Amino acid sequence: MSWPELSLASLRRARVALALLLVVDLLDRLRAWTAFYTDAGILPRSVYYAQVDRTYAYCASMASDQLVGHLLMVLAGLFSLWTLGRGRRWGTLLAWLWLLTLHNRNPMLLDDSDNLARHLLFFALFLPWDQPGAGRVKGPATLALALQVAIPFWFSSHYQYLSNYPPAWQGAVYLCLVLFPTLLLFAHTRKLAIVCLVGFLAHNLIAFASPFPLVAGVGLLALWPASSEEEPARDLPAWTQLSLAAMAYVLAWALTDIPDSPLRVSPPLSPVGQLLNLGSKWNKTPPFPYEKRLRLEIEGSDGAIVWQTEPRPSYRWERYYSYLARNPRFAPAFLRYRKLDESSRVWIVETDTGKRTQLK
Amino acid sequence: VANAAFKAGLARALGLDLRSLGLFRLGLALVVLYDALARWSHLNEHYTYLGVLPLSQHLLSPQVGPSLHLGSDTPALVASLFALQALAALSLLLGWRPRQSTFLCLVLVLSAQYRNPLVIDGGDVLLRALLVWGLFLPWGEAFGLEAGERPDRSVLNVGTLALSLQLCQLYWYAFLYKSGPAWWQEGSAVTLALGLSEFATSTGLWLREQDLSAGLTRMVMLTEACAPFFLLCPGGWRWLALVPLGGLQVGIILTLAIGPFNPIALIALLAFLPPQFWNRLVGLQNALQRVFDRLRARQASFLAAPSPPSPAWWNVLGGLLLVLVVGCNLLSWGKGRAAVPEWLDMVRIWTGLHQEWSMFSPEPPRRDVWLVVGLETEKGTLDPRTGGELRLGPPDPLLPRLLDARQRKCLSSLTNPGMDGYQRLYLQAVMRDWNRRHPDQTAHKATLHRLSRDNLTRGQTESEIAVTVP
Repeated sequence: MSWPELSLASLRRARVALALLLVVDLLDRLRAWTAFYTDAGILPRSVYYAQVDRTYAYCASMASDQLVGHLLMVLAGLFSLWTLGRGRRWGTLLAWLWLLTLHNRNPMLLDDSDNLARHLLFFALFLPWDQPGAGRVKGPATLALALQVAIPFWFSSHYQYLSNYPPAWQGAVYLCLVLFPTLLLFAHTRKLAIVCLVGFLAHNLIAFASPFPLVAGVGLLALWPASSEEEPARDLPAWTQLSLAAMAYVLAWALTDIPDSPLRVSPPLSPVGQLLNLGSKWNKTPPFPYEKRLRLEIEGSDGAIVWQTEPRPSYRWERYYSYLARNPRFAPAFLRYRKLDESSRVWIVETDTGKRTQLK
Repeated sequence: VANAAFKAGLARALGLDLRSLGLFRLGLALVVLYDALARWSHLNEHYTYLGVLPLSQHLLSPQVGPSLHLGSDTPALVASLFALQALAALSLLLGWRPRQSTFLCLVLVLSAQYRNPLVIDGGDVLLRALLVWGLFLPWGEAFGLEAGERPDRSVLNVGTLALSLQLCQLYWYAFLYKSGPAWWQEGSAVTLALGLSEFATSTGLWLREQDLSAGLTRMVMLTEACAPFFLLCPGGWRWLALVPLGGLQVGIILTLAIGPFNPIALIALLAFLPPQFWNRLVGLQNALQRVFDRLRARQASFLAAPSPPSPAWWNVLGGLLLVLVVGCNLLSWGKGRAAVPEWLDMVRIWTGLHQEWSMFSPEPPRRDVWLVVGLETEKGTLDPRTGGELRLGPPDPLLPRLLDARQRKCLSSLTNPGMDGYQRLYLQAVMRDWNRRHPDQTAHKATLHRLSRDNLTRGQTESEIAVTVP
């Protein structure tokens, strides 16, 4: 068996595309920066340390809650993404560290697109995607990257099967269009597989308005084969074998996270995974089998509804409401953010069925 | 040509010798290294969720300044930051990329200081100020991996000027803030200072018994007021500052265990050693140079590209910071921090240049106050410092030896008003630590006792219970 060969030109295109996507994502987050990332928002730092169970996660953006601190965080993001896009030395490392910090600051907002972007940047640390010129490379890191692109498809399929959604005939179509092509990513017919997957992602993008298809598309772009294969592929240096150890962790974590899985990640490995934030779940890939459209209602002491979710919340706010529904302990922080009476009752309402559940 | 000759003459007269600056860098790098190791020794107690300031509680109140140590309060991650500080200090010690190393040291030192304001003392304030000015000093030009060909010359730039004025401000404001009768009319300030159980060493306690207080008090005032002027004078005149100020610091080190302030103030004086010092001690210069020459020979490839000289805007920035410090110190003198505009205050906090040199001002406390913890175990109420029975009598003369400077500072900060919440956290941390180390003699209740007595008469000790947990 040989390592998958990746084109340097495709890697460069993927690098630029990812940098652009992350800039757009940052601009999107800026719209609600106070709510998402400051002490006056939904997750003040004191609440984070009291209630978020991430002992070994490090977050440099906790350093300050002053305006200067937040400005520096945003400028650091723009600078690191600029260095990433321009293919500067250390650009990938800077961008990955910055993204790690941003994601660690508020894990309530994250979905598979965030996790995939962060993982892609991590595995790109082992690849020469900032090098000019033509040619191809192969090695353990190319396999790790290809696996990383395929993993969200594999595991989200599993979750969708578990939840009996979509119906059987759609399941069969899904298997043909998604699972089978992901296996072909490791074969020589990679172009066909990528075309199939892009078609599926385009459908998802239109139907579910989630950023996941765009990030997954960047991953597929990195795997697009070289136009000419005259010269033999260059081997990556030996140290890039470390990427396989990281990939083993990503895979092991994904396997252990499946409900009722008998597998467990060894405790000494957990701190490393938490520090690098490589222990991601892949159950929120559209169409969100576990998730229903939700809205939040706050009921005052007189029984009247004093606040409710705006009719069309942004994607990040939807992620937050969905997280809150699963973690009601954060409801008091939300009441403080909205400056509402902390004795108010908080309800989660399923938009489709109208079913109400009291969170607090 | 005339302009160049004038500049060279000015540098010779008012500048600082590169070898002295190199020696100052070595000293300060060792202080930063010591700072990392000393803080590491109280890792859990002061910087993690196991200690007196878990972030879940600490972040409920507004923060002083930015701190990378707020990124986690897990012991392993905080330890990594101190390890990084130690590495930066080693890099500064070796003189490798001096400006970048100084910057990294400054960021990490500031970060550690802002993480736990309960243990900040004057030494921390001085250390960060010296590191800031170090950014503008050519202190890697001698005794370092990037040393130049001609270290036997003096330089005058914004960094040397700022360093000189910084030390002058330290002593002059220390003098100006001392307005109490103990310093001026009574001459009892030294007796009062030496009576503080938190600080007094055995030499200090002996000295207190001699009838020298009035003379020593006047001498301290005279030294602080006059000696710094000679730091701004050329060459040999500087000995008139170095000897009295150095003597003052050595005297304090022998009699009062204040912490790292006095050793750092002593190290700062190294930068002002005149060229004559090096001309007489050629052996010391050669020995130091040999060490770095050998290291350089081994690491030649590592040092392929030496650091470029500072750009012009860098010196402009240094000048602006100097104006900021002088201006803010003038504004806040006698009126307190509130007199400084908020945005200026924020700039000096972010740059590590906020300072107030007001220890023992307007005079040393007339009441000696100290805190003692009592742990209730099956064997009775114990003192966790000694492991013996708790005594609520006169202060233990061994206190400065039982606890180190930061532990004493932490306790001393807890005596301030409005610290009830922190006192509770402190007790919980002490009890947790005791129970971890003594599983066969666990404590089930902890009490913080506030004791005090008159500092001059050393009369009866008064005791009251401050807080009890659980």
